[in-house]
Amino acid sequence: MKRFVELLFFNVAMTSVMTYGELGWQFRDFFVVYFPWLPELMLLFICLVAGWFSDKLLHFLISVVVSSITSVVVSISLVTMMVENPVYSHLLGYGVIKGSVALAFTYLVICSVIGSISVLVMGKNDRTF
Amino acid sequence: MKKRLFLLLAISVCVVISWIGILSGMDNFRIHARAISSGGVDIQLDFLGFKGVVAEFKASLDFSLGSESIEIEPEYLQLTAYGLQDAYYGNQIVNFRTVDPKSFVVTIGGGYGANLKKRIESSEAGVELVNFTGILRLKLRTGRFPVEVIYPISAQCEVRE
Repeated sequence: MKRFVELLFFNVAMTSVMTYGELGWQFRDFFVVYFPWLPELMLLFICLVAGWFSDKLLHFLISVVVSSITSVVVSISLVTMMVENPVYSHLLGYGVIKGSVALAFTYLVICSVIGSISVLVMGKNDRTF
Repeated sequence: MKKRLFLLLAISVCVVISWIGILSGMDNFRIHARAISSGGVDIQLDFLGFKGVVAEFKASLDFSLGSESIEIEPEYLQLTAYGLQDAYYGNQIVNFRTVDPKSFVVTIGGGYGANLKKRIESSEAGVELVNFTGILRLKLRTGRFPVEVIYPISAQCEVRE
């Protein structure tokens, strides 16, 4: 149970930061304060800590995949809700989907690599299922 | 244990920073999006004349997207021309990477141009009303990544001999 709650916490954290990064890259001008590379730095920090706390590499990787998928869903939902006009949101959504998916994939690769190193070096890396 | 708690707290701070950023940014975005969606793109078409069997139209695009702070990059225009009684005059793609969207030429040529000319000659009034419909694909550069938007376009133009 504790392990599940911890993974859920990292999941929420990674989803939030990934969504921030995805929307930030695409709509930077709208952000009141936006520090370049801040989401990426936060994501790296979360990955290192999550890897360190993870017992199994598989669990961490599943968590990263789920986070990246959720972040795309959240970012597209937010944009669609904000736009209000259904026709325009459909048209705009096409561009946002492409951008968000591309960024989420990039984050997925970076997090998997950094997190895996963290799990293997600092984590317990329990190989049993 | 203390270290663990501190790290979890640091991650919580990251989450809070992210959501503050997301919510404030999206609120701004909502205002801009409302301005853009209330605007539109108009196309102005004027018949220039026939060059042989090629009908030439002077065209220009007028953007009124509400917010001037958003950079507009027109990509291409895809137009289909048709007349009354299901007369089809072909379609055309105008690439704005090489053409100025404020002033460009749309043509109806080849067999379609000849057909249009023939129709005008055979009509009593010597006029044919040509409808143009299509899509304009443009990029709205709001951040580092442009957002692609497609606007529907339609116009009418009278063609005289």
